[in-house]
Amino acid sequence: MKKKALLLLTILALMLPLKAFAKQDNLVFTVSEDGEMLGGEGDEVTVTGREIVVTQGKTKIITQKLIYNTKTKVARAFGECIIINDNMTINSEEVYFDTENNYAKLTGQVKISQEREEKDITIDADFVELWTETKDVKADGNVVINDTEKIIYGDTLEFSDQTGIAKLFGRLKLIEEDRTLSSPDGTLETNVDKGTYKVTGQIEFITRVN
Amino acid sequence: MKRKLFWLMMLPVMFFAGCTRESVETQREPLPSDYKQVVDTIKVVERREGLPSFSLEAKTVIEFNDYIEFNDLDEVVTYSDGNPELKLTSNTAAWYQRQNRLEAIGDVNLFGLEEEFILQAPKVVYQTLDETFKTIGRSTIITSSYRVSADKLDGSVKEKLLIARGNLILINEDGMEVEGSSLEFNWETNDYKVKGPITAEIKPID
Repeated sequence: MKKKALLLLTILALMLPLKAFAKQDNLVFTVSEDGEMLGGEGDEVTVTGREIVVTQGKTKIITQKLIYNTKTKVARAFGECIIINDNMTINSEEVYFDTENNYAKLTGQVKISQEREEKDITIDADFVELWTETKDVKADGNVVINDTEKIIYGDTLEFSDQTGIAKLFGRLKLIEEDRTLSSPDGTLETNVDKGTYKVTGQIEFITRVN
Repeated sequence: MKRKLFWLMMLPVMFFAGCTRESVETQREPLPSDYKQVVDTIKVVERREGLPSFSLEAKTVIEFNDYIEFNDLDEVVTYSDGNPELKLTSNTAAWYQRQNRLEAIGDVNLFGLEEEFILQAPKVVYQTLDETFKTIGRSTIITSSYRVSADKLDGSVKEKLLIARGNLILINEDGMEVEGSSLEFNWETNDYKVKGPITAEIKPID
């Protein structure tokens, strides 16, 4: 019995690193008929066109200008960028996508819309980091989360897609029905699926009295 | 008596001589009707304003009425401002002097001399006056960074430009494969431009 358990553990231990080295999806991009691609001796190719669609696994980027580095495997998109990542749709002005590490940086009026099982949420920010495999998000600057029931403002955000927990830091403000909660430098942890939240730090709470 | 002796000596000589001629006589393949002459080696140099614009060296040359066929072609060199620009090698080449046209046929390789690239094609037609060329049959351009294959290539020596069309595919050293409607390649800068619609696929290198 012990031998069987040991064998099972060994197999599991061997499978874990194999999963880590799982084959990377091919990166494919298509360019509309009006488009063109410029390249040469350098490592970068520049692609322009009415519609450029970059696809890798479950991540899709739609843009009008793309600079791709064939050595570093980094794609940079400019213009009206739309990133579709599973159940997330993100709009931004600029995208930095590290295709080897499934990591993206988004800048310029970033808006994340996500259809979750419980409810739809939106996250607005100046700058966003996205891990495309886990769909985890870090956001910075003028962060706003809206889950249709409440709006939360903060300076920075860490959001886990798996747990639905969002942590906001810095100057905070939460508006919910007739209540407003604010903090000059606090931490707010909310579960966007359950609608619960916890705030630490100096808090001001205002509620409307009829 | 002297005459008799002379004919007695000449008869066997004539007899054997006749036999020898009979034994070495060969049947020649019929030559084309417009065949004119065969030359051992030739070097052709075209000049423009005193500077060479085109040169050709070959070992066997057959001159026909309207063109010259070169076999064992050593090399054909085109010049830009008197400097060697492109070098061409092939199995055979036909030079149409009146039309200022050279046709290189069979395993054609065109080498960039200033900038390193190779163009491989089954047939290349070069117009010496315009300094333009086109390939016939699926052709490939190879540079140090990428490889381009297409059904048709058109080139201009003056503009240092190649345009590839038809089933175009570009493969670069980092595993990127690009398909597009056409490609412009400048062999001076090694820059290229692919026109849409474009599909590119980047495979991870194992």
